[in-house]
Amino acid sequence: MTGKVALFSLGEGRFALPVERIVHIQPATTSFRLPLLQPGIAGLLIDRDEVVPVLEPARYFPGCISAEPALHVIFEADSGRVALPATRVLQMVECGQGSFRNDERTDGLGHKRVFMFQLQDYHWPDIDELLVNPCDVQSELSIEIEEA
Amino acid sequence: MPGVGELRLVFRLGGVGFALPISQLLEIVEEEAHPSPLDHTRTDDGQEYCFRRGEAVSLYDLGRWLELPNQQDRPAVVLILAGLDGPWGIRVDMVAGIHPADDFLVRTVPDWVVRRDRWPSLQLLIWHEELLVQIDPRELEMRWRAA
Repeated sequence: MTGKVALFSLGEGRFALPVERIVHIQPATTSFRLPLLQPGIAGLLIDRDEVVPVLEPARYFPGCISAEPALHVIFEADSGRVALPATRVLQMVECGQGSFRNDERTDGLGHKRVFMFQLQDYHWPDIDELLVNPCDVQSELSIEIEEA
Repeated sequence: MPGVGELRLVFRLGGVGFALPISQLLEIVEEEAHPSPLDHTRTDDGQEYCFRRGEAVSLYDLGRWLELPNQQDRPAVVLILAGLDGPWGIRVDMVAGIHPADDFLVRTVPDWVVRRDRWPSLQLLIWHEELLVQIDPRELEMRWRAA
């Protein structure tokens, strides 16, 4: 992978996203909790007259116990735009300044990808994969509830 | 689905905003009104009816059907709608007016975002920086009759 990587904090955790897939980053706006949303969808927000689903942090950052988000990262997934809550933008770095590794998940649900930069690990969510495999969401949300 | 240029009634239930076309709206009744045009009863099978000037009106619990968590307890408003076989009604928390279609932007919700088996309409409306659920009363009635 080439290009830039954006590093974020989310509560006590950290995650990273490819900059080329980020549409924009904005202060957290009103998220409407409408009825019958699928698990893992925190709500819907209005972004430039379009409706954007807001993902639950547990959906893209398993095990993260997050605070109230200060930011929404509008991300262009293959399935459409989604909003990812974040606390702070930490840095934008060149992909080559860090490295990737795969860690085995402690919950037995395969592997999670990690971007390492300056001795810090940043969770690297595969948003496209998450959106096409919603069955993983309930397991991840259950893990967060148990850990809380 | 509503036609272009149709007026829409905006109402709130359980903290959620909704809108429906007024073409099928017969009456808005405040339950605290005195005298009330409605008399209530409940049948043995759990289906609630009321009588509006002597005519039976089936009442459906939209909030429970949509699993809304924050419904208020106090008496509210009943929307009486024209059905295929007669009027039917839903209780709502409050009415926020009737507005022209030009005030609304229609938006489609991706299938992976909502539970489509229960969603009365897969369209949302943007209205004054707020997201509303668009209700098609005819579709809603058909779903309840089939349930």
